[in-house]
Amino acid sequence: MRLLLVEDDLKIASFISKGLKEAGFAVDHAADGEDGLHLALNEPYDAAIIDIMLPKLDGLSLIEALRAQKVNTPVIILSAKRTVDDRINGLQTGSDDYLTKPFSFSELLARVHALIRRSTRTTEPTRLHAGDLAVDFLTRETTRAGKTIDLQPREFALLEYLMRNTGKVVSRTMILEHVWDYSFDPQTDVVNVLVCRLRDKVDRDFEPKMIHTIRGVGYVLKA
Amino acid sequence: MFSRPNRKAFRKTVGFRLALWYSGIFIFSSVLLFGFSYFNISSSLRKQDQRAIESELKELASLYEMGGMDFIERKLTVHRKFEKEEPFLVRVGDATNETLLLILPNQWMEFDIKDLKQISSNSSITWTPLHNRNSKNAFEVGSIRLPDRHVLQVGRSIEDRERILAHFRTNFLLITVPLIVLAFAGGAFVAFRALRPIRHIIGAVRSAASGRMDTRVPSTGTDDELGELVTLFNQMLKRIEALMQGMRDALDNVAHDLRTPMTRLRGIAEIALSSDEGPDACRESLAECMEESERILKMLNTLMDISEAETGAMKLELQRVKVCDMLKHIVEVYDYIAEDRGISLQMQCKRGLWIMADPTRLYQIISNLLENSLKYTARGGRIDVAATAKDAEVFVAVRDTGIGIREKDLPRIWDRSYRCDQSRSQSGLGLGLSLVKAFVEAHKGHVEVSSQPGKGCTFTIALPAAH
Repeated sequence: MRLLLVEDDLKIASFISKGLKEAGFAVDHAADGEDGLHLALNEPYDAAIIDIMLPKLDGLSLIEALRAQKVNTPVIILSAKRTVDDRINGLQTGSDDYLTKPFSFSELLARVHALIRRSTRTTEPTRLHAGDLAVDFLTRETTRAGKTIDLQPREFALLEYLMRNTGKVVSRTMILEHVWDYSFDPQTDVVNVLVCRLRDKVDRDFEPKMIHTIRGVGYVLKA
Repeated sequence: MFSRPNRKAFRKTVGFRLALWYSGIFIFSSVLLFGFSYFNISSSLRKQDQRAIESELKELASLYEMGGMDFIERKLTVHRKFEKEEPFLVRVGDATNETLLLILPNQWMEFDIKDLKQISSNSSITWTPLHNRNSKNAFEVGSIRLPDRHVLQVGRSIEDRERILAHFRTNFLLITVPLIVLAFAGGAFVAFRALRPIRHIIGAVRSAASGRMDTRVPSTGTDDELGELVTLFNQMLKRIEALMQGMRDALDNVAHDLRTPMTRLRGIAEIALSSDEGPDACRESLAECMEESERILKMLNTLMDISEAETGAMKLELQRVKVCDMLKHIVEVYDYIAEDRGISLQMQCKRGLWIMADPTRLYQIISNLLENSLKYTARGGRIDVAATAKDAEVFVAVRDTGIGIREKDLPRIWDRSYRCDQSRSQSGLGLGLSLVKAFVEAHKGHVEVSSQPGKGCTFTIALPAAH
């Protein structure tokens, strides 16, 4: 998998590149919009991460130019603005995503994975295993070590989300978006409460523990 | 323009143009008035002369018919003996207008008779004004052709008439100069008076531009357009001042509120750096830093939300929202927390309630109220969410059986970062209720709270209903 990163802040660019390389991606970095556009037009990329505020050519114009040349590489837009402005809404295709600064790297990584999965249209499996945990997404049957676990709908939705991202950290924001379709962060840790309940059912009576908290970042399900 | 007049700019001012227009119209109407009266007087004087000439003409014509030229001559000789005033010129000419008889008063001595010969005449009276080239005398001559084709002419001096009219003209010219001065002065005065509010506005804008936002334009005290302009302008200034003040306050608050968590963040990192403990302790400190930075971000976002809502800079994406569905969704999110804490969370919703609101903001409002109630309600307590409607308003009430709020704290609970003594032990930003108030008011709604200390409290938000 080959990614393009267009970001003018070298520190941010270096930590993103480092992380992505550790996650097994090949990363090309461009420090301004023109270089970014040149690379995006001439090299095949599976996804691009583009900052909006860029020297020479801003991120949105870059994406516009790409789309005008019929290059449909899925894009994650990075922005320092909290609100999604109308121009982005107009540009975003179904396969694009949007992330506001500051963001956690694991969130960016998870979104990159999701983006590539969506754009390559891999069919999602209807059954998944992780260790001795097995989930059937159609019948909603959950078993661990052969024992059936009874889950409520939101608990199941959370488990499904963690299972589909096995081994990858998902942030609280991402859980809120996926499990509740909530687009803002409530003050109380709603997610933590739900994770605790899920742990009670999936992990308490079993070893090894599968759901782990990564402090300040999010949660991960490990087999 | 007004407060720093220089000659070049002055000619471009509205006041100058108004004064010019005013005097122009004033002078034009005066000239019109003069012209009209001049014409009237002159024509009535002329008619008077003509009537006298006409009666003389008729009398002479009838004498001529009775006894020919002799009768006329005799009559005129008699006439001249007795009446010396206002003598008429009388001339009788033959068919080709060659002089047959001419009686010329003294005043006419310098007069050129040839002028009379050139007058063509017919059976009705022809009027001809004649001017003597050498003197100021002027005459009016009436000519008529008699039945035997002879010409009878009677003339009369119109010196008096001319004198009256000349006097009239001189008088007018004499008053024209003061008239123009008066007109321009009057115009300038009127323009000056009328434009005073505008000058005040210009002064206010100038001082506002230099940063003094508390300036106001003095009221005209009238109900006219300029009065309205002044009122509207003052309202605008007030709003800008509030906005700027709001932004300044927001910035102060952000700076103040962020200093504490930033200090914590710094402290954690500093201690980790200077301690000799192993990598596990460092890892722990890093995790704490992450959490702290998360909290800083959340606080920054909330503060910005509140400021935007309070200053009116918030962009609301209003749409019709079905109140019951919205409440159901939010209550479901908090159900788990309530259950965890042993609190019963109930919802009652009147069907068919719709409001116009930005859904995300609305979710934040209700979430904050619920979180607030959950925070202060003990195990075994109860929280009721109810939606009702009254008079084009939809009310959403969150009632809890928590610790309640003391009377003296009630008015201040909406203030930013105000936390009563009872709440200090609870974690939180202390911004939840200010956000609720700011958001609800941005939706043109209002908030209410009632409480019985020890028994719980009820928060109610009212939002305009959608039809």
